[in-house]
Amino acid sequence: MTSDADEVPGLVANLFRHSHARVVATLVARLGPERLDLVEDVTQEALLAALRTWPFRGVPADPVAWLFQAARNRALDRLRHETTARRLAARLAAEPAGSAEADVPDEVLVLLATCAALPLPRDTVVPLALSVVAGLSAREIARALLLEESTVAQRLVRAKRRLRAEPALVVLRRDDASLATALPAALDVVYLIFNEGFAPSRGDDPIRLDLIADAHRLAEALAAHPATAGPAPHALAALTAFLAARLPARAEGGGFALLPDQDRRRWDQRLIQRGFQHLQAAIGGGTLTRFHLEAEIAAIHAAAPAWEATDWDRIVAAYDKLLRVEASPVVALNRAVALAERDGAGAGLAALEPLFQRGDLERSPWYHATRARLLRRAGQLEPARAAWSRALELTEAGPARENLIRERDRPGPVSP
Amino acid sequence: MPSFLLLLHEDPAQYAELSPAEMQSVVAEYSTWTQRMADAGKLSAGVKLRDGVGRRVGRDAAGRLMDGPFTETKDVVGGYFVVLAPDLEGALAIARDCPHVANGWIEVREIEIG
Repeated sequence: MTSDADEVPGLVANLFRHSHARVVATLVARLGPERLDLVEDVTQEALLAALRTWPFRGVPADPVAWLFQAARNRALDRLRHETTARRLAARLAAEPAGSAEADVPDEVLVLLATCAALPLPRDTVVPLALSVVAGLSAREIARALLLEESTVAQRLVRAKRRLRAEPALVVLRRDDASLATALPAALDVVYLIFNEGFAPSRGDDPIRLDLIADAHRLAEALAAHPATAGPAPHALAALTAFLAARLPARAEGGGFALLPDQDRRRWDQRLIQRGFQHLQAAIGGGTLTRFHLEAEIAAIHAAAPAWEATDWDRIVAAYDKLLRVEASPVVALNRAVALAERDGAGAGLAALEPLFQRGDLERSPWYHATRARLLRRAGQLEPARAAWSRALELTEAGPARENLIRERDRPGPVSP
Repeated sequence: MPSFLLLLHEDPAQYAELSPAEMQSVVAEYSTWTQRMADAGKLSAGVKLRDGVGRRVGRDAAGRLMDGPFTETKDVVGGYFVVLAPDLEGALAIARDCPHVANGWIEVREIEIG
């Protein structure tokens, strides 16, 4: 969102994204989950109608009611064309013409559970949930999952086609057992929403606070809901709290300060405490998820008075454990950064070498920027320059680009 | 002061892939602009034309009254603004400043009065 959004009366921050979730949740609850496909279509159409009408006629006095009404009218039109759906149309028409009142985040948990229970491959369920629940575009989802945009778009189209062909597949999952079954996918989705908030793939905002706040709220809701409470959601809530606590220190004069350069006095102590509470609740039961280990790493950073005074031994050890739970190239990348702090740039570069050979993170700008930093520290200036260029090629958003350019042009060796 | 019609042409399909947040930033851009124009006393009206495919009415070569064909779907007038400017150059300056030039094109016509 641009800062302009705040200056337009009635156009509150995140109006479209939050309305999307609320209208979808409300209409699905009224029309039945087998209508998810129709509901998604009419909600999108209502937002598009707003996009094309409000510039001429101004933002209406109650924009949420306007959007709900527009979606509801479109749903009615479509249902009236289906003789088998007459009964549903009557039910919807009898509703008072108020606005969406879905109980967020409980209704959102139900939507998550509904998506997660669909008999679709996991590599499709997560993008679908990110689109339905978080209102992310194919491009944003592609970045979050390190996939090509066309791949994500294809999966979404295939999933929606399948649901259209077999509407009976969609069953609204409200019961505790379904919420519990949906937990792993729900955790993934929340984690990805959070990540997209931290490094937005587009737009001029260095951080999308809206996404981070949503993800933190959802993580806490999962940790608090009797059907889903347990070590893993507590660990995720700890992680989101620790990372959200750094936000006041992250934004810096239009760009953003990375962890090594942050003024730690500006960290939100209340959120850090909340993180430690969740971490406490996450321990025990013998469960060790990647969220536990990531939260542990974040906790070590939260406890360190400065980047140089960080307990790198414990961080490297936590990354070693994390690699065994989650052998992802992104984890290997972060481990290499910690290793470079402990044992020097050469050790970090050696740890990156297998990733470089396999090309796993070829599309990740963070990977190329990290490699550039370590190469420069190791005095390999020519390869460092090539790595900066590749990182810049892959970076779309304004402040992230400016940060990279500033760092590339900074004189002397810098720490990663 | 002379009035000018700003006809906003666009391909509505271009917005189909936007996420809700992206749509909101488009609305915010236009709204900020119309607010600024209104505050400066330059905007006299904004009218949205109903979406949907338009029809043409006229006579064919044989002189029969025809209803059709359909109008373009890729170049649609979504709506128009009426703006006030001292002359055509002033109206063109207003149009060039409108966020719509990033999403389509604007036809500028002076409204005949008197």
